[in-house]
Amino acid sequence: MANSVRTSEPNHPFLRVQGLSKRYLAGGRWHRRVHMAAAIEIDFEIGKGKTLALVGASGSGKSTVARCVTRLERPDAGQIWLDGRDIAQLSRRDLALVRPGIQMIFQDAVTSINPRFSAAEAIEEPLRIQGKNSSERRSIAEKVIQEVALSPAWLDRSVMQFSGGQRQRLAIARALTTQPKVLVLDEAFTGLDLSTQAQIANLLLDLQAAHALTCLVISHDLTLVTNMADAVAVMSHGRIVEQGSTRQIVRDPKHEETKKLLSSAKTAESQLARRAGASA
Amino acid sequence: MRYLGRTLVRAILLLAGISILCFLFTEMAPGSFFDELRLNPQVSPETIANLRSRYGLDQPLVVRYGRWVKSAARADFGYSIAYNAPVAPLLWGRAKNTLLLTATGMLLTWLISLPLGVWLAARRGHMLDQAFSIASSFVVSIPEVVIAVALLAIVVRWRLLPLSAGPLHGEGISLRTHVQDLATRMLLPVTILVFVESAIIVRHVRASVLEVLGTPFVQAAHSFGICRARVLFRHVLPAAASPAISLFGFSLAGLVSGSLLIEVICGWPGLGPLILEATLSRDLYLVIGGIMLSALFMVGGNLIADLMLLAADPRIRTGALDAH
Repeated sequence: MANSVRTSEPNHPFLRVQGLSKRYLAGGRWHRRVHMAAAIEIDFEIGKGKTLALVGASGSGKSTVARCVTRLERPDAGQIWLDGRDIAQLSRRDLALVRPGIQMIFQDAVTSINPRFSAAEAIEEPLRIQGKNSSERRSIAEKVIQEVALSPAWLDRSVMQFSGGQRQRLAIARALTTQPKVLVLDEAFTGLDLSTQAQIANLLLDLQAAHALTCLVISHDLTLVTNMADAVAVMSHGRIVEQGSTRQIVRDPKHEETKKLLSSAKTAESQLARRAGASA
Repeated sequence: MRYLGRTLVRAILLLAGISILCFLFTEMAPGSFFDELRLNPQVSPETIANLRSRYGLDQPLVVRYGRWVKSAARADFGYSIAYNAPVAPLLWGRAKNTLLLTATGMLLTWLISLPLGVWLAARRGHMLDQAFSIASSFVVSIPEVVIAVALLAIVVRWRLLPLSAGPLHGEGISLRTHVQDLATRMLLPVTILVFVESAIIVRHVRASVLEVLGTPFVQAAHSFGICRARVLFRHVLPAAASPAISLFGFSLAGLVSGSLLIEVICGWPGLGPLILEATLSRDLYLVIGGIMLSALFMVGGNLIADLMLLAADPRIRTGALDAH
């Protein structure tokens, strides 16, 4: 088991994951079922208002952890302590009370919002289950859309009329409507161009400061998350192989997987610099 | 309106193309209606030549096609040599019976398949889902005729239903008796139709719903704690509707042609026996009329499906799909 790193006061981390494991059915039928372990004995914790980046190559199990933490999946084992309450095995009814407090921003902004909806419908939907009436919903939607730097005049536009970056802002606005305490970003920057990535990252930092959001950022791009995260955990083959403060991970990587991720990030950076130089 | 106009023009061109192909293929097919007469020594070749001339079969293909188009414009669709009558009234008399059978079958098929497909998708991997998957693969892989004959054999062997043939619209009987008789006679062919079609449609509906259930926007809806019924009706079903609507269009298209073999096997007095008889006796214009009626339903079915898609999917309305 990897050593846990605490990103706030030692006794009361806001989100603590202990021994989380999840496996999926990989094939076979009935008594000959073959399972594949996607997450094995995952441990980490994040203090209130802090950010942990969970990084790793594709298929390392990062998204499984994100889905378990947001309880889109029920973990096979382990605990997920959210503000002192274990949500790992909560029933559907009890989860409904917890869900507004922990929201997820999905990888693909284009497919994470129903394309048949208008921006207002998409943003207001989480508020319906809270029993808010239409004028209350509209007023909250107008407030949160401004928070993500989009115009309230665009609320009646179809989601299809927004660009990829704008849709990711809409997804963030939608997540904010429930006033979450924890935001899980599952590869939320993938598919966006560099300048949009930077804008969204800055927006998230501003929102984190404004709402004291605790963030779990899932990414394969170590360079991108180092600017946002207080701590980094590196995953490989379903396990956390190394974790520590961002500074420690970047300056003194111990595990081969971390070194590989850092070296590929540097290669990508130098390629970009070469391309920029050539085009100049 | 522009869309509708474009679609109608396309439909007319398609029907014209099908009619030309029909004439070309029937010309290429061996034999003619008068071949049997040739074997009869009492009928002279001159008599046969006179008959061919009377029905215009001695004319070149282009002339025959021109005459048929004129006849189609008068809503006659040619002349049946065997029945000595215009084709359209002959076809329509039988088509009513076929439509009664296929429309009932289609309605029941969709009423069963839609909820069953959604239910199975929601229980993916469950034992019932796996059992249905195996059973439907079995049904889909067996030719429709074999299933029809097998069910007919079961019905006959255990005398489950009274079997009868002949015209449906009996005179001098009460409405109740007539409806009872109709329902009894429809039971077997409708069961075969529903059995065969459901296996295919349930699989399609299940696949469409499964695809949508895995999309991030449905998972996002779950993550907000939105109840399953709302996620199903507000997100999943509208998104899964498009492939199902296209499939519904195909069902409409098959209203005339989908049950021909079953009608022949079950002795249902619809288009099936008429077209089979006409094909075997080379009653050229009756065969062409049957094919054109089937093509008309295909074009109409696709047109209705297109309009339903237009109403169901705002992305098609705004043309956003074309832009992507």
